[in-house]
Amino acid sequence: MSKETNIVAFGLAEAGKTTFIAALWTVAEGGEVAGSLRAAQLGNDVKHLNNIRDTWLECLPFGRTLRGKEVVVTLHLVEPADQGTAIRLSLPDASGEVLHDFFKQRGWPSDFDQQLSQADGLLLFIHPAGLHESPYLLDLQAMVAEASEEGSRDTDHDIREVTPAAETTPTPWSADLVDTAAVLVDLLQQAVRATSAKVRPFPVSLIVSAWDLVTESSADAWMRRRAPLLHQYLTSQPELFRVRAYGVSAQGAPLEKRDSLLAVQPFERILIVGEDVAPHDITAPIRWILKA
Amino acid sequence: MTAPDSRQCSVEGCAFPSGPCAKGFPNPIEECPSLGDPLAGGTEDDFESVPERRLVSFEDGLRLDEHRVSAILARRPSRVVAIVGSSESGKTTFITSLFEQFRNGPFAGFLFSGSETLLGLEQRCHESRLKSGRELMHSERTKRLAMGYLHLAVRAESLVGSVVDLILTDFPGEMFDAARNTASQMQDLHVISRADHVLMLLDAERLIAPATRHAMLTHSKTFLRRAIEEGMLTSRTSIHLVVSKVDLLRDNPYAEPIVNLVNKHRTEVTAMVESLGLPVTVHQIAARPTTGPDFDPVGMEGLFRSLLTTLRHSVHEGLPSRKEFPFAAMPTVAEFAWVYRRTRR
Repeated sequence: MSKETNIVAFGLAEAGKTTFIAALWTVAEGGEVAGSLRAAQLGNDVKHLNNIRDTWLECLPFGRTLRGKEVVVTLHLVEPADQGTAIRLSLPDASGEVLHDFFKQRGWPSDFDQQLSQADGLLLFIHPAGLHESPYLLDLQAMVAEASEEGSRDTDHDIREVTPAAETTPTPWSADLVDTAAVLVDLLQQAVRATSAKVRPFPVSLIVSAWDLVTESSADAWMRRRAPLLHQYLTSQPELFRVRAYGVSAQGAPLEKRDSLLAVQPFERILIVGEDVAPHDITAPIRWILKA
Repeated sequence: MTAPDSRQCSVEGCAFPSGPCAKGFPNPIEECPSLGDPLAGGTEDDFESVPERRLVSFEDGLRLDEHRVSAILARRPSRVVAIVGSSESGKTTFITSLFEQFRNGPFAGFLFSGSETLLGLEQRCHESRLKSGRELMHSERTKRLAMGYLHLAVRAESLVGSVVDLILTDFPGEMFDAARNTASQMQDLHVISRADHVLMLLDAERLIAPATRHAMLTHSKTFLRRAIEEGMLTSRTSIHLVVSKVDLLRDNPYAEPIVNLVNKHRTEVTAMVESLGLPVTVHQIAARPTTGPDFDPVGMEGLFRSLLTTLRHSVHEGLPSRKEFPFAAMPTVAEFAWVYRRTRR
């Protein structure tokens, strides 16, 4: 018996999608992580999967997934506790730049829309270093004023009003300047419209990549603090979204530490935190979508 | 690039319009993006990797037209907020400050639940952000931007009750001035007759200046009188007199007389709308204070909550059509032709 599950990987440039898929394939095929999904069969063509896995195993950097090089990765998996049901998992591995193009050009190809319409869940990738936000000038003025207040205690000067500075030529607005969180909310709004109204609430596994660089206690806490607009959007509508956040470092550490990464079993490099997650089980976000 | 038929669904196996929508949308024409028009103006170069693919387009995200506003109003509980006041009285600043609050986290007990005009909100916030290259806070004047409606969906932090859509008008102050003068231009603001709330912004800077304060208060009354005469204010609307830039009154020796003046204005406005039974409230806000010590917005939470507490219109009531004033406004070419033919007979 086979059950087809379609999950769309969604993330902007260098959000960690390809690294995640490479580590996922390694774990699924290796079968060394307790409780993880396993590869039931190789499938007809796993060239792309094997290529990115080899890069991952050798701890080499991935190039960006190029525009025009997006592929739909198909994995045939099986739940270890339920050997009878095979899962055919389709994961489009698309370039993050292309997704940003969709945002700016206000549209995406109908076949991508169709993948979403057939999706049973979404893997939403966010890289901590890829979250761009333009500071609000009022916050900066408050910081300047606070610093001035502290200075005034010594100098006895009361500086409560920020002295106007000379104006520079303003940069005209463009869609390139939109905050990352707002871009993702906008794209998610388009995505959820494309998904089937029968899949509600729609499962979203939120993956904060490069978790080895983050000091927050949980991925949900990180999102709440670092991407509040996106966090509010996803959590304010439990009828629309079912969300679970994971902190994932598919590499385990920066590639500058390649020697130490190569010194351990490949699957042991994987760091993942979240609810109901066994150590190194990078398949957990997918298993959660399957059960959601 | 191949353009799809706008009525043709791009979802494989979908039988709509002859059968049910494959995605399960009860009203696919309004809700299903797979029925949308192809992306206008695109070229093959836009998507190097996907030449010849059909495209499913999004709304531009900058503003809503009246058709889209009515679709939102029909969907779930909403509030239409008409923000009126003369140029540079702080209308756009009020909207951008609201959005900036949500950018930092929950605000006034509410969560951000989305926006169909995220790009429009981001665009209006741009000049108050560092990436604009400015060193001082600034708001792009609405006249230079396209006027229209902005959208913000919010929900109580407790998640009790449903998501509420806020439709916020963003019209230039020139329209406010024109509406005072002629009936037809008041009719251009016909959204007021569907508004749950009318926010009349009273600029504290002009209240402080003796030369402008009386004119501004008179303009406010004239506008409301015109709206009443045109039948645009109904018993379902709340009037909020919002003193903006109230931080300028801090440490101002004339603050107390100015507050008294505003209270007198409220009494006069209340008397004007007495027969309609409209509630009139006064708020003092500084959406974007220019002085410290902490630069925190003032009065925004209370005003925002008051916009969400009352609902006097029926839940699914859309925008009204513009009342017909065939020749009070500048006639169109067709109207000219019609008049010409009539007078020649």
